[in-house]
Amino acid sequence: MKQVININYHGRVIPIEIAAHDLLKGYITSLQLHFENEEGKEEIINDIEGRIAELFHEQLTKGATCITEADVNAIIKSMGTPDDFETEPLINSTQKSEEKHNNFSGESKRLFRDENNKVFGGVCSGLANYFNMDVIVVRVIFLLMFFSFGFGLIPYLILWIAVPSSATKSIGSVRKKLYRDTDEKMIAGVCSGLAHYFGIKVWIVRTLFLLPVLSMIFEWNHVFFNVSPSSFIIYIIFWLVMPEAKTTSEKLEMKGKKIDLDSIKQSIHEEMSDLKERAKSLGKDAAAVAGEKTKMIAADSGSALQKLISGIIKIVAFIIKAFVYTILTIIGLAMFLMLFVIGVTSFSLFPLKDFLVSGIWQNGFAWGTLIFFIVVPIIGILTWAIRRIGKIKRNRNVLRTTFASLWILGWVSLTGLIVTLGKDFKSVNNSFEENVKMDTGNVNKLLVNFYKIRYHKNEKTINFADLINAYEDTLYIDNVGLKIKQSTNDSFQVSVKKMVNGSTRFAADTSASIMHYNILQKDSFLFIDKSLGINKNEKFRNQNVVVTIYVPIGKQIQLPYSKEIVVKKNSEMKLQFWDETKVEYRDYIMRVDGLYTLDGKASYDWE
Amino acid sequence: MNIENTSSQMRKGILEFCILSVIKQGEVYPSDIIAKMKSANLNIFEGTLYPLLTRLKNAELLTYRWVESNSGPPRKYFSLTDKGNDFYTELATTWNELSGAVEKITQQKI
Repeated sequence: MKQVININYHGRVIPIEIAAHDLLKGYITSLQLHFENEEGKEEIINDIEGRIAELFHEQLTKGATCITEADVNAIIKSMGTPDDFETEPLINSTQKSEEKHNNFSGESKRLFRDENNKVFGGVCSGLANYFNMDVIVVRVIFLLMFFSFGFGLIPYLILWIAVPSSATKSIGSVRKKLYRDTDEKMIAGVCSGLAHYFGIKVWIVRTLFLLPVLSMIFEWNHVFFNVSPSSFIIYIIFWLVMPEAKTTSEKLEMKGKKIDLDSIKQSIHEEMSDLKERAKSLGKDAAAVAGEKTKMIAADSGSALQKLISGIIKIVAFIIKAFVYTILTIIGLAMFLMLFVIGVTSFSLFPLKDFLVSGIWQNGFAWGTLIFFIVVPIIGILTWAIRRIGKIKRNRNVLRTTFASLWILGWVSLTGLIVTLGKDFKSVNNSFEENVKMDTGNVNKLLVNFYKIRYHKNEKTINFADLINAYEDTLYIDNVGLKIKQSTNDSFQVSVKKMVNGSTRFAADTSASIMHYNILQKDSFLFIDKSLGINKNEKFRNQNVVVTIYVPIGKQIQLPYSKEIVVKKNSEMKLQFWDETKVEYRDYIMRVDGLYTLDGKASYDWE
Repeated sequence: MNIENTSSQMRKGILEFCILSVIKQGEVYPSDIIAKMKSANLNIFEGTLYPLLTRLKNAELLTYRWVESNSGPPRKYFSLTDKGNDFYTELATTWNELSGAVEKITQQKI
């Protein structure tokens, strides 16, 4: 026995079987879903329901006692299910009206490369569509530009790369999407998400990520490391950029539709035959179009010319715009690269911090500066760029606030570092010239040489612009100056003056007293240290040394000479920026009025 | 190329025109439209007709009024607006041109 209920359906009392009623409800729900995005959805559903009520009434007046499942099925058959509408032509006009709607609401048309009418990349036909012009006009303009300056090629290539293909409109939904897979996560599911996306085993991705990290940990014990922790940064960026797959549909999207061999074969086949056809037809088309165009222009030259001119103006404006954007992009990229270089440099220089900072505070500030001031903006900009490209808008404000506050923390650290370091450089020591014991009784020519132990060009050494050499626990800075003066008596004399900064004068004096600078005279040779060695306990406090050599009148001196040496007025030459392999030695002679080369040119002025 | 797709594209093009021409002949009730089209061997689902009518109405090509019926609630009767009339005339011209052209071409081929 079937249960029957009475319902009030659009102003009519209808006796209906419960099962039939359920069927009806299901049908209406499917319609509501189908017309979800339709303008006037309520009205459509209302009309349909009204009509159904009418049909019910008809049925009842024919003598039926109640509406049965069979009746409802018959009605559904005549009204059509959403599946029927799909194959029905009208559903296409839904899209059409949506497009129309978009145009009316002022939303701009989107520029697509036209895959259906393309010759190379579909850029010209896409532009023609966009500007509502004939594609031939656009092609001619591009060709002219290409042949006259080779100028058209660049915008074409840029547009080819930058403008999405019209195929993406339809293919887009089938594509896999990149999500973090938190079901199979180790840290945040980045690796397993990537593995899904590229269709490879997750351990491969994990190994790729782990390799550089491992070697970095291994190297960390040493003061110097060569591996940058790039995979860390990349992981963090992926973490920030990739959304988590939460819903079932997102998880399905993550794994993507299975691409079977047939579909690939088919698409390649289509593409190939397409190309042939296009090549063939292009020649014919061009001839036909040329003929047609000349006729048309002759007949209607006024408006055609007008159209052409306005088209050219539009396109020129568009190209200028494209160029400006390109230049801006290049500038942006350059700035980003600079930031990146600074970041990498500070990373490679970071082990040197032990030679500079002391105490918990300074160390903390140094780390804070590195992480928050340098690394955070790099990650931030990368994240922004990737999200921009991927058009991801989720969690925008959260990210922005996070990055901004972290960067502010970076500024605080930097300021703290500068202030605390500045204190340590506040005072200068009490410097004085210290005479070096000499035994140069009958030496007529003093040969100045460097100790050559400092340059260890092995892999454990960091050479930064040849200014700073670090070897194991000692930092070498080329902060040695050399002065040549006239001796007051008839023997060579050498003095050393050490200068160093410190938080107080006393501290500076202490630092000066433990500074080790080697200078040695043997027979006619004078060996001097080229750079100052500073160990981690001493710290860098702008240590510098001036060596003064007093040369008696009539005696000679041989000095290392290289092209980089600037002859200064006060006869002091900084021994900086030497390339030891290029050093040559020059002889000079001291006369009453100054230092001369052996062939008689005045060399140095001196006080 | 599949035949179903092509023919449905063809039908799509003329459906609006057919509906407008039915309505042009006088105020009609939707099921009258279905019946008329059925009699001309053009089958469409009522479920596709209602959305189309709503769209045409929203585009101000159609208007409707409620007419009391002797059995139950009032019904919607549709008629063309002035704008709809113009639209129809334009469509008709296009159709005449097209059908003439198509006839010529298909006859040539045969």
